[in-house]
Amino acid sequence: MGGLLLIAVVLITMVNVAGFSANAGARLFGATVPGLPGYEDAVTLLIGVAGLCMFPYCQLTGGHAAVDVLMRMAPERIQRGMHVGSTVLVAAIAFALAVMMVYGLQEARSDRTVTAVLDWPVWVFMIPGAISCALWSVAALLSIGVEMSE
Amino acid sequence: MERELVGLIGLLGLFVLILLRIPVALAMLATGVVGSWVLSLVSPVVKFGPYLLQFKSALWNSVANYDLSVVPLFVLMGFLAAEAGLSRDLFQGMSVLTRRLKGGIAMATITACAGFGAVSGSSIATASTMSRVSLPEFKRFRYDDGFATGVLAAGGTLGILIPPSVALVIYAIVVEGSIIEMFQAAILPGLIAVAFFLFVIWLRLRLNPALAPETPNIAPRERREALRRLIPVVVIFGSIILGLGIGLFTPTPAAAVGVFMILVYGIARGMRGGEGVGWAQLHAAFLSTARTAGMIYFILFSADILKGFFARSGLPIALSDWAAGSGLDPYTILIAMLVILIVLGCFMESLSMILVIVPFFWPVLIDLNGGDYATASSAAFGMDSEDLKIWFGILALVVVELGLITPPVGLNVFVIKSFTPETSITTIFRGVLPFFGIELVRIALILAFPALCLFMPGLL
Repeated sequence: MGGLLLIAVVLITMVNVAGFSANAGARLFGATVPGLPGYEDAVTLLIGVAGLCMFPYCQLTGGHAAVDVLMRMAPERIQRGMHVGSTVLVAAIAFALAVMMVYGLQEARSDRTVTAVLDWPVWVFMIPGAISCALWSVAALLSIGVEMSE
Repeated sequence: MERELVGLIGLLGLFVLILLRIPVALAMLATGVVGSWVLSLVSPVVKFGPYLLQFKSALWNSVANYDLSVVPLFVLMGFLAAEAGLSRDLFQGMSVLTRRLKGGIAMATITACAGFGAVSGSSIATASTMSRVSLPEFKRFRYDDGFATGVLAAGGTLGILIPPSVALVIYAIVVEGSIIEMFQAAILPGLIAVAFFLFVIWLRLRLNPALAPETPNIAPRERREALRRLIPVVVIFGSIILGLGIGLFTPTPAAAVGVFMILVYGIARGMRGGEGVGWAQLHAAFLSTARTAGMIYFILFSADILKGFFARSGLPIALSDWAAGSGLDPYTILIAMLVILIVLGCFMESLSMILVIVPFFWPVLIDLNGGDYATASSAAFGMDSEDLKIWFGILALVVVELGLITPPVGLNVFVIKSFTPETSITTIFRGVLPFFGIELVRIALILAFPALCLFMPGLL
């Protein structure tokens, strides 16, 4: 879904760039062609959702950068213990962030927070964000399960 | 002093957690939250309850940020370019052009790394992608293992500096500078790196021709085909760099246009039956993007939380006050900062390093220079704070780059090693050493002649 949203951003941008390019040409004849109104609003919200959609997959595939200089020399059991411990912590944090984001979206809804130009309600876009955080927590737990079963 | 001490202990704790192989973003987040809690115990002015409330929107605000929207798009552009076979086309085209030169494959690798670095924006991605493409050629033509892997490790470092680069975007955001000016400033130092690396190759082969045997000529038809395939790559990569350089695009549209052009070219090529972009390649690029961009966003979010903790602790201000009152020469302090960055760059991921360390160094430099409003004539470094931002940014990225190939733990070296398990780490480091040496010369040049960074933003 994150990838498809990025493609949506690409397409919106192309329309916007085409608008600006057409405007440059049209100005020679005294005419104007507008770019997409609220382009930055749309990109910001779509990227927000796309970015958060990427967290669960990144967790599931062990994509988070870690420094493997010292622990490489530690016994296998300690290495595994540290990894499981840190993943449990990620699961807890992701869950807490999901809960906090639900509070955040409720607040944004009650405050009627909207984007500057398009007037789109921000809380609607935070819903997939909160779901992604919950899935991120599940992904962390799943990766622990896989590690324990090995 | 108690708050600053908590900040300092937090900083040391952060490095301990990182060394214990806790994911960097998690270590930053944990340090930020725990440190803020400890601060609230030490100083009654700092409340922990209100601090926690920021988490209702902190993650959303970190990710839903227009300035940062360029990050996943650049990442996608790099992966799509690799999936579409553009990295292979670039390397093969360059190797045809350099075929008659001694060490042509090595020279093609450096120039292709520079080209691919422009679209991938990441040193590790550049090193791994170009390893896949050029290592088989090095082996086919029996290049010396140390020489070949050294060229690849050094070439890979170009990804972080050749604009557009994700690291430049992040640095500009950290110091509240102009992303476009950072891109423009990186052009000359990037080109100098390419020229220096080519010089090292030439010099090494002059001293020891056995490192690279003669490469046989290729058939004219094959040559024409490789050059024909190079043209779209040059057009796509060139228009992104040029568009950004002359200010035709801002970063997000540039990245989006880049993705679009690569996608259209890749699909068209795939439909003609050759290597190109189909659903499988698009899917693979999406997944790789999700993995990389997810990591970057988690680091960015955690860095925000960590930054809040350090700001509350007052450590950055205490550090800059100490530096300003120490009586040490500003250049001595600057060089010490660069050395710290090189050492940390050996094992820390470049973005995390920029996000953790630069917020400490930047206020110190500003104070040393004479404050935010220092003019070029009165400033310690002979430039105002806007120019200092650019100059220090390029210096910082160049030394981070150097850390990637610094023995004994340069990350790029380990990336190359994973593609050629039979080559020992010692052999790769031996091959890297001459490039390490020339990088030190480049740093000295940039230190001595800030105009190398400041000329292009002034011109464009």
